[in-house]
Amino acid sequence: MIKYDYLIKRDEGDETKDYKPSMPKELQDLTIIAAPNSSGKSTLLNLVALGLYGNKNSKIRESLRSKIDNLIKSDHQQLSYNYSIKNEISNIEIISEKKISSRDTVLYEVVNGKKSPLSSDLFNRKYNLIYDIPENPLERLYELTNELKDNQLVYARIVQKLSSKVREYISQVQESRDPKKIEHQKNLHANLIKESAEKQNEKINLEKELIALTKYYHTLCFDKFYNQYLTKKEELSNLRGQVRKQKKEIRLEDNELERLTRDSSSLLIKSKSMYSDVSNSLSRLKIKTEENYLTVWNKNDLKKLLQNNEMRKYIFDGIKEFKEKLNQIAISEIDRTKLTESNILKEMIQLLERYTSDNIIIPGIDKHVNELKLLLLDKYRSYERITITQESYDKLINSLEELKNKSSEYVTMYEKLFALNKNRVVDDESIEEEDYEKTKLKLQDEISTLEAKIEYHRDELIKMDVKENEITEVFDKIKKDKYVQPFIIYGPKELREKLDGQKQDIEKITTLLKEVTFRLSRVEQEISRLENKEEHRYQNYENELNILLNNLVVLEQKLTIEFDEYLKNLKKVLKDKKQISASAMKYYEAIASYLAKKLKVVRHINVEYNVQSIDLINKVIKTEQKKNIKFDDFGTGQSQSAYLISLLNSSDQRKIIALLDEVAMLDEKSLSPVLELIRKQYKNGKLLSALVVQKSEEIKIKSFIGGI
Amino acid sequence: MENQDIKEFFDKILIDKNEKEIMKKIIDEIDDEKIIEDLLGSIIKQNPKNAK
Repeated sequence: MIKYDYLIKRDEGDETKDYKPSMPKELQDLTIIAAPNSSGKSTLLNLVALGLYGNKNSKIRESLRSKIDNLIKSDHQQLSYNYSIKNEISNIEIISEKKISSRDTVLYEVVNGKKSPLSSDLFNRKYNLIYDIPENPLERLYELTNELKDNQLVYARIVQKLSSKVREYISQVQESRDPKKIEHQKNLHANLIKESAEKQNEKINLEKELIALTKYYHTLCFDKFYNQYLTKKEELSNLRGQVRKQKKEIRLEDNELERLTRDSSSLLIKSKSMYSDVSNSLSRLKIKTEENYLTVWNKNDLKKLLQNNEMRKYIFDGIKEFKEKLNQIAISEIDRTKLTESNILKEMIQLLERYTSDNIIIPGIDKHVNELKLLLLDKYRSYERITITQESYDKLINSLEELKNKSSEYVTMYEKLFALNKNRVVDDESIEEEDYEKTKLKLQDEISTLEAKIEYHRDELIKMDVKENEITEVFDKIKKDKYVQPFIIYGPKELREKLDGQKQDIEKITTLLKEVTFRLSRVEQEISRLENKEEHRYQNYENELNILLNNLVVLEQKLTIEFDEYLKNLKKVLKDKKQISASAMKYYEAIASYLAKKLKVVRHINVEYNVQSIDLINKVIKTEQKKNIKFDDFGTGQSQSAYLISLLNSSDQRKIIALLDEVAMLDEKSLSPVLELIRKQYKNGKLLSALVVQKSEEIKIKSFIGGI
Repeated sequence: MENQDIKEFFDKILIDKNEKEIMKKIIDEIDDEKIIEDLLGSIIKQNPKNAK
């Protein structure tokens, strides 16, 4: 049942006129309206179409859409309406209304008593509004493909929706509990544990090696520097001893020099006097010698002669010769017998002298001791001159001997003095005070530095629990350590470099261990996160989901691009058939079969034919009866009828609402199959309502639910 | 029968077996999840070794 009402307020210049329905306001679901012009039959169809968003429906011809739009967009009129299309078979009611103050229509559906608003998009998805008027019928066969185009777009949207759903599943699967991912993370975890243990072990060994090498390094340095320290201390001690000894020697030399100078001077003074006396005595005696020593003596100072090595012989050789000469003179000048007698007398007198006080009588001569002495003394006085001469010679000879001795002694002293003075000048090995101070300071400085080094290494060893008195023992022991053995030939510098490298290695491993620990923590978190996830029902079908997604994407592209392009090119193809690709041709052939199934039967020159294909390219309808009907040979009414039949034979699930205008140009044989199809679709629940309008001289409203 | 016509239409223009089946399921079914389930089943049958 269709119930409707409307009001159009139209400004006609001289007045504003209200237009209301002139026909019955209640119509059967399938109604044929025959009425004269301006009776409002087309207005009713436009109004129903407007309420069903017909002005936005691209399948409706442009000329009709323009008329629908005019109802609301014309400035000279205002519209209000309401209508209801209620289908008992499907239990669906469509309600549309518009108030005069509003520009928008409002549309609802009531399904099984539930009222819901319908947007344009939702309406077009659920309902199929067919609104047509016969116009250029041959061209309309091509418009039959619009339904295909719509279907393709509808299916494309479904495919798109399925793609989204599959993508969502893939995403969910990827984010769901995945035993493979858990296993992968666990393997990673095990590897990290292993790596951590290896690094830890490596670090422990490196630290052990570092401790052993550090201990070895400090004991080695301690030992080395301590030995150097002892050497330097000894050097300093030796230097001090040497200096002390040298100072002592100098002091002794100074004393000796002083003594010799003093003694030699004293000796020379005595010798000079003697030398003068002797020279004078010898001059008086006029003793002649081959070398004429006396002349040399008189002309030269004793000191000068003795200090000169060449001249010295004049003294010593001269003394020798003078002595010999004096002895010869004494022997020649003095009577030896008398001299002997004189000596005997002298000795006897000296003997008797000791006893003169004693009253002793010498037997044989019977004389008193004193008497004898006096007697002998008289005799001795007769020999006195001989004695004095001899004594003077003896004295001179003795003086010469003494002079020789003293001269010899002086020469000895002089040579010692000379040697001492010479040594003082030429002693290169003696240490100068300035050098000594420099060397001492240098040694003290070196010792101080060594002490600091020793102290440093000792302190380092104490930190490592090595007592000072155990350092040597530890040094000997650590040399045999397995970590030290490979580096036993290293010097301190190389060891220091090794230790620095070792520390860097330990730092690197420590950093790596931290990284491994961090990664372990992250992996553990990830395992926990993965294990806490729920499993997805398509957990094991990610590959299949991807295959399906790929199929869907390709299909969507075909529906939206490739097939749509074929439809758009349909008219171009008509002009240049050679450019049709194989796939396009396949598509066009499928269209030909599809349209044939929709049309099923065509009437041509009063004969019905079963349609086999509608070839839009060659513009021919092929029939099972082998009759090929060119489009151009097809009658107008027949073309229109075929077109409407195809529209009503829609292949989707949408409910049809059909509005057919101006069907008067179809003869009864052409219109009858259309109305029959409408009835059939109505009874099948596929069609909700149909209004068929044609021009007539008088108003006739007729339901064709029960038949035409 | 209308469904059959459109199914036949797509059966003719599509080559890939999966695409044909997708179109048939879309034309026949409303529930997306069921379509996906059925299509996945077909794909698994085609490549059983892929199934885990």
